[in-house]
Amino acid sequence: MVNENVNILIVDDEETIRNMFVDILQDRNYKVDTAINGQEAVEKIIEKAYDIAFLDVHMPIINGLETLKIIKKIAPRIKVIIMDSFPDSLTQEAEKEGALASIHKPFEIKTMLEIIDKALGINKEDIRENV
Amino acid sequence: MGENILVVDDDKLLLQTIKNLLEKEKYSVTAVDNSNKALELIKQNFYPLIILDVRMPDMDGMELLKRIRDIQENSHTSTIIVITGYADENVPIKAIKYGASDYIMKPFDITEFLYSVNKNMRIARLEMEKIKYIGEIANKNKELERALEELRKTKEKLEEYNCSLEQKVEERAKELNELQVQLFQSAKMAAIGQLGAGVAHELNNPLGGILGYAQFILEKFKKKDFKEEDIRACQKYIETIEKEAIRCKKIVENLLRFSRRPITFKKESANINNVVEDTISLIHHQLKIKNINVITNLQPNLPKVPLVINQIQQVLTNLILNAQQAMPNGGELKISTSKLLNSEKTPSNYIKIEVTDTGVGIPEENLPKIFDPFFTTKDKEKGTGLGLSIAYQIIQEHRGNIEVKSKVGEGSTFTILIPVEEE
Repeated sequence: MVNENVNILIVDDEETIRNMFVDILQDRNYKVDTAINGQEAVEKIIEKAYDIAFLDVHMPIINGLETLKIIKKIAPRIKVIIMDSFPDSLTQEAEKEGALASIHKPFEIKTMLEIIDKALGINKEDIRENV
Repeated sequence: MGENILVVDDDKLLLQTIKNLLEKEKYSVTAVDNSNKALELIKQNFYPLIILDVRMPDMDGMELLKRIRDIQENSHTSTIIVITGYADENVPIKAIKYGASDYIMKPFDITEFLYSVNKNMRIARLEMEKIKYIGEIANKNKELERALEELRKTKEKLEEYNCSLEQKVEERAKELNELQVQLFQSAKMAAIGQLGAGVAHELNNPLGGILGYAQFILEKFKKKDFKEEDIRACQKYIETIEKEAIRCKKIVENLLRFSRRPITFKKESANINNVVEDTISLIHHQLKIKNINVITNLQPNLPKVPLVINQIQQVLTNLILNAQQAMPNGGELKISTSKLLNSEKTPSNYIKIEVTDTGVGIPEENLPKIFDPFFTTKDKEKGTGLGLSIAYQIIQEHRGNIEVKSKVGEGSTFTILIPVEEE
């Protein structure tokens, strides 16, 4: 799967984190959109078909866990990766609710890319099977 | 009555006559016919009244008077009547100069004689009484002086004890003060323990930016076709790194400033809104994590208030942490400041700070105990029960007041009033 065809949504209330994802991933030709909270994330998901979503677990109004549940209902195909600063109970619950994996801030570029590959790798298998 | 009279006269007949006369008057009489015998007797006995003839062969009358005075110098003095003849011109006056009390001239009338004796005996009695009273007064005086001396010694001892007591009280007050400082610091450290996790989380966001961009820049440098636009891009990324590093610095500074042990508890004029905002910045990330929405309603242009800023921060931190624990599934935390104007209820102007949560609330039976030391409904790891009692003490020391209103299932509101310094 070519990077240009991968749509990634970054959901985090921290501007620096969003910008960092955009700069690094767009440099690699991924298509990146951002949302500052769960509500905006859901609005964007309704408009566009994303392959991967990075979700910060601690967000105001609707936290990452709630957003995850909604995403799994309205767009179950999206591979959701949970971000937090340290694994806590919310992270565990998220993985139970269907998050693919979690990464812990601060993370290296390497980690970001590996997890994207993991998410896409699973997709690749799906496609091969369907064919 | 019955006192002893000494009669001295070399005229034996006269001597006997006088003796009989006086004994009839119920006096007891010792009669001698020469001066030396008289002096011997006077040395050994006390005679309130002495009647002596001034013209005697063995001694001059004045000499005899002088000798009697010498003998009686430091003891009781007798009243002396001298018997003189008409012919003796200056004798009566001289005798009185030498210590005689009275004189009788020969030949004398019996009535006159007795009258003189009785009169002088009265004088002698008065003299004896006087001496008795003087003796008693001297004794009483001695007693008084002894009592005064004891009193003085007691006073000295009391002053010593007082001094050492004052010293001990001062030492103890210093100890207590030091203990109080330690206690406040411990409570603050406990709060910081709870804040620390939130601060660590908060640091991970800027650190995420720093790490990611640093690695991104290094990647760029490794490119074979490093272009002009890459330089500009890297510059932008480095600026971001710098900004995030400064943000980390502020977060850490904030926490360290709060955790620092204060050198003094001096009050300084401060804007309460700044203190509230600084406190919130310390803790807002933690609240965000717990899904607590923070709403602030800070009245602008509030008058400055004398505060020990570090202590007020400690109070607010404690209230906010309590509110957080009352909302385990998230909720709303509202912090407002306002000015309370002079009214009948409050004698002077006050600043009002309200901290309201939508948490589990405090049961009515616990409300009166809420500020008691060691009262807590939390399990041991979550609370020592000191936070609110220390908060109460701190507000008291600011001459203010702290109250709570609460309803189970709805939430609680803590209200702090601090008086504005009178201009």
